[in-house]
This record gives sequence, structure tokens and C-alpha cells, in this order.
Amino acid sequence: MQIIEPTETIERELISRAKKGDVEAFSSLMEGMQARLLAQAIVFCSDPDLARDLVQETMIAAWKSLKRYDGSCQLFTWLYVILQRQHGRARGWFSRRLPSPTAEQILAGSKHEATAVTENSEIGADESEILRAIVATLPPKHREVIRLRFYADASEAETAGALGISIGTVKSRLHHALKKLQGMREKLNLLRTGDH
Amino acid sequence: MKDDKQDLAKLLQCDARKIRETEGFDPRLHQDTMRKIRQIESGDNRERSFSWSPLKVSATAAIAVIACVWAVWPGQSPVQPEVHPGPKIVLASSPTPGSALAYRQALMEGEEALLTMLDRDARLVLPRSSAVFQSKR
Repeated sequence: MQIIEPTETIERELISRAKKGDVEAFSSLMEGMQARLLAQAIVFCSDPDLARDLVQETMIAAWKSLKRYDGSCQLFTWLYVILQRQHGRARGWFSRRLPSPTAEQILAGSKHEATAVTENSEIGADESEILRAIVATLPPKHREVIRLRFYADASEAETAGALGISIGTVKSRLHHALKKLQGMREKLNLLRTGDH
Repeated sequence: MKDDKQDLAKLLQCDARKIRETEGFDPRLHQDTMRKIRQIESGDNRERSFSWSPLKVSATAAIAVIACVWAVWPGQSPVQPEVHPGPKIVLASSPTPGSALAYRQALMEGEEALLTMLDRDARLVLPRSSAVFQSKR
């Protein structure tokens, strides 16, 4: 039997009201989502002001298309997809087609040692920066699944629902994305050991 | 290879946790966003009452152009119906001879016209031998 949390019921009620045009209900929903969206937007933009603009554009786009939200994923997951796409649009046609930075270019900004990651280990600032940079170099469809699965904490089914693809496709994209990321990390580690 | 992937997945999860630690609500951003949404909503409501959507405008324009082309196109213009002269309808515009209205109208034209009319009507009613038709000169 599925146990429905009270907050989930409230959220559903608010979504239903917002879909009918209730701005106050939408405001209440966004109050609970904004902090998370803003933190993710700062990762995308690396600039707090740009991140605020991106979150605003995301919320406006979400309001306009809320009727299309079918509940196949968490509301945050759906918003996260909009956030990613708004960011892609904001970057513009030209910058989207610029070549991705090479492993050398990524490493140039960091002199951090590669860390062995265990269950409870923390990740250093430089390591985070490198990791986000190599995620950003992935092709959009691979980047999308990595971000949804790990950064938006969406399940495979939710990721599939949010992107309108099958779970099999999610699994396949995730596999290839992780493989590419791993390849990139290995390249970076080789460059690092070569430095020292 | 599988271990490497798991290692990478853990690293991504750690980074995601790190991002979550930086989460903070921005009330000003929320207010600004909601104000914009309310503006959009009120604008939409106004538009709904009188909407000139591009689709409607282009559909109307297309229909108008087709109608014009159809009317102007040689041989395609609507056939003019053949007009047959029907029975002539005579409107009773002039008053009935001998009526009060006829005399009033004649009087308005002048005394001469009234006398002529009286003379004509008298010829219809009275015999030709009547004294009124005899010259007194």
C-alpha cells in the first residue's frame, strides 16, 4: 500500500489549484522550490545574479506551461528540466556550438590532487569544480540524465517521465554518460600525475 | 570498470549534497517573480476578452484574399441573373381625378389649372348640350 505523505497531499492540492490559474497556490509551491532551484542555477551560471534571472525565467516558464505537468515525476524534477532548458536558451546559439573545453583546459583552473572517494567522504572545492566542468562538456542528452539522476535526485522512472523517454533509454544514456565522464576523469588524472 | 563507475556516482552524489548545503531562500527574488507572473496573468485576462490571435488574423486575411481572387478571376465571377421585364407597375402617384386632393393640388398649381380641371371633369359628368359649355360671348 502506498503511503501518501501529508506534504505530498498539500502539494497535489496546490498544483491542482495552480493549474486552474490560482497564482497564490503557485506562489506557495515556488516558495518550497526556489532555494533548491537557485542553488542549482548558481552551479549552472557560476554567477549569482545570472542564476537569479535564470530561476525567475524558469518559474515564469513553469507558470505558463503548468497545465502540461502530468505528475509523472516530482514537481522539482519537472522544474529542473525547465531550468536546464532555459539555461541552454540563455547561453545562446553561438556559445552552445563552441567546442567543449579540453581536459587540459579544465585542469588549468585547478591544482587539486585527485581524491579517493569513500562512502562518507567530502568532496573538495576544486574537485567539485572539475566534476561540474566535465559534466558540462557532455552532450546535452547525457548531461540532462546525469544532472537529473544525481543533482535533482530523480529516480530512473522520474527521469524518464520528465524527459518523455523510456526507462531503457534513461539507463542507456546514463551508462554512456558515466562512461564518458569516467574517460574524462582518467584523462585528467593522467595529466595530474604527469604534472607531479 | 564497474567500481570506477560506482566511484564516480558517489562523487556526483557528494557534489549534489554539497550544492544542497548552499540552498537559501531569496524572498526578494520570489516577490519579483510572483509580481511578474501576476502582471502576465492580468495581461492574459485582458487579451482573452479581445484577442486578435495571429492565427485568427491570418485565417481572416486568407479568406478575404480568396474571396477577392474568386470575384476578380475571369469566368469565375458569379453569373449575373438574367433580368426579365416584368409587368409594369404603375404607381398611383397622381390623385384620382375628381377627388378633393386632385382639386387642392390643381389649386396649388394655380387658378388656371383648377379651372381647366373643373372644365375637364364637368365634360365627363355633364352632357355636351349643357348650358355651361355654351359660349356666353
